[in-house]
Amino acid sequence: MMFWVLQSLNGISYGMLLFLLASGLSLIYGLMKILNLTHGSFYLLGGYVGLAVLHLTKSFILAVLLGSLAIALLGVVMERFLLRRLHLQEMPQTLLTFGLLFIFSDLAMLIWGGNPQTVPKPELFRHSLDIGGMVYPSYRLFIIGFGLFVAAVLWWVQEGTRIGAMVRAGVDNEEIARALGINVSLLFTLVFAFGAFLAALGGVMGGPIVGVYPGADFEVLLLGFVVVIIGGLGSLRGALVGGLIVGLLDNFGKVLFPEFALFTIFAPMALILAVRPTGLFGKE
Amino acid sequence: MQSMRLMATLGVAAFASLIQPAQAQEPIRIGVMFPITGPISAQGRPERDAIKQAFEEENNIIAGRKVELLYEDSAGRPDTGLTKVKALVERNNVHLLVSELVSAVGAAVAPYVNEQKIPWVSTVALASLTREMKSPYIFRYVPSSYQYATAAAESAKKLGWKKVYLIGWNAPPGRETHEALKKAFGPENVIDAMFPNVGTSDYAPYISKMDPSKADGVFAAMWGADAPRITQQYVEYGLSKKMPLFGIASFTSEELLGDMPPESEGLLSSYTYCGTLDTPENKAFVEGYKSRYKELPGSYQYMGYMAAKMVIQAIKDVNGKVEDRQAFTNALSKVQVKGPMGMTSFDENRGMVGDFYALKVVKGPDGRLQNSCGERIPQVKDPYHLFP
Repeated sequence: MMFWVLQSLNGISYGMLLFLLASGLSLIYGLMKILNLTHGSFYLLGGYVGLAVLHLTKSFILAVLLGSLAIALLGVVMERFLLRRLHLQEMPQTLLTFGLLFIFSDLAMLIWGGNPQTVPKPELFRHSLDIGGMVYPSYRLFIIGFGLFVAAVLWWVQEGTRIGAMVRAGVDNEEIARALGINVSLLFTLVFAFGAFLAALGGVMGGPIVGVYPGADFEVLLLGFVVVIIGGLGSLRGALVGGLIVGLLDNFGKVLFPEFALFTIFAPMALILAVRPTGLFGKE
Repeated sequence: MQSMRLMATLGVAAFASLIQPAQAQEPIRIGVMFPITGPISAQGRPERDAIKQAFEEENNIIAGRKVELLYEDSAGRPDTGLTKVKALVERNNVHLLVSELVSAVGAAVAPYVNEQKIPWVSTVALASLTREMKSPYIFRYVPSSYQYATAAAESAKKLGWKKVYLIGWNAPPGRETHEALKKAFGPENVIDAMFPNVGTSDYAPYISKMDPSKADGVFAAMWGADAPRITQQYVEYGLSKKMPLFGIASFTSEELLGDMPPESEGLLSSYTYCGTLDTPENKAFVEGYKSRYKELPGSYQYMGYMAAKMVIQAIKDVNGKVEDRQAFTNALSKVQVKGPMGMTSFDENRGMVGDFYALKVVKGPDGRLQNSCGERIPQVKDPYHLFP
């Protein structure tokens, strides 16, 4: 029993990190139809910048904020000066983000070197909880809570605010949204930057668990895509449910069938693609 | 006509004998290739630096000949490594190689080096180098995976361990450690062996599978930054208090201790380098490295340093005539050097033999973690009789 609880918590906490990553990926695709491969870089660079801030200021909160904001700014620059020129040209856009993924990967290697690094945990969550003999790191529980909090905020923004309504309008029909006087161009920049912000958030928050290391960008990108394929592109709910599914599958796959660790993620993905090509919550 | 040709031949021969001494004055060129970029650079660069140190201690002149070190970067990739070694051999005409630590690169380079008959002192722990390969030109100055895992198992047995867990990289060193543990403890006493892929960052699924009531301890066969990472998570899941963790080979190497959590005090290991060992040779090595690179050397630096020391002694033994490869490799197989950890040499298959120490991570006088040197395990040899 304890085994299942422990392993489920592991899977859920990892799933929350994947949700942070995939929600941005999903939002950007939903509104702008950009398959943003640079998303992996956002995650990695967020982790590195956050770590640098942490070393300077010794404050985890500042590391999270500044790390994520810096990458959001990078997102603004990227959208305004590069992606904008290729509006709605899917293939050139994808190739552009693919190239940037490699460039950022090499830049990170140049600046921070090849040595994998771990982000120290905030003081408050450094201990482990002992619940009836079950020892569990409190930081992972915090990640679960934080993920749920972000999900709630995202849902509220999307469903309950004016800007959320504008985004939904843009997703449904860009031209009509423009005709109604919505500044879709500004919306694009905002959403792209926000997606980058979320990915970087995942990078800093995930730092104490998975670390920051060369190649993390490609790894999380792959898992992020599995999440959005399972959950459905463009759907926040899909990103959350998909993240949890992939987190749990990954964890139990490693525990129960260690020899087939990747198979346990990709086989269900293939199955869902076959039955529901748009994913669990994707629009037709 | 016939006599003309004879005279010409004689003339050339005479001329060649004249320039012979000049050729002997040519520097000895040694190829030094390590992963200087890429994920293993944190180990590769310092190991290369320690090789440099060993030659500097001789002022880069051995047996009257100048020594020139030619550096290359394998990036830890087999294809890059092979290209770079070819360049060293064919373009730079190196006389010998002191190179590499990544198993995959070692495996890619070995057949080529053997074919070219270039003496190579490798620091690759690949067991096959001194087994299937058995090239007369390839030496291995680092314990093989069977060698260090068997030594670790013997150390743990002395602590009373009977049932064990293993978590190791899904790569030859991890798998071979499993073989060695099965042989040492009996297959039924290795309760579970888990092999996460190299580069797995989250060990939680594996760690939370371990049950302290079922085993006496856990062996961990993973290295570089993965060692502090799994130790951290092992502590977090409350296992370090219930069941000791035993790091295989360079798991507790000095450069990694800075990243280990303070709770990792008591972490066990058994390996051929102990940083705090009190011998004049070790003091000289540590001081020399520290004054050059402002850091304490660990086991990677030790391997590089000693590989170079072995080569230096062999060059002295052949009076600097490294061009005679037969004589040089013969000398190298007979070399005995008293290094920081005591006497060390090569076995009949050119694998390293040396003293091991039981290690335990403790808090040093300055409050930082360090290895304390426990029991000395004399002259540990690759167990060819157990793993042919």
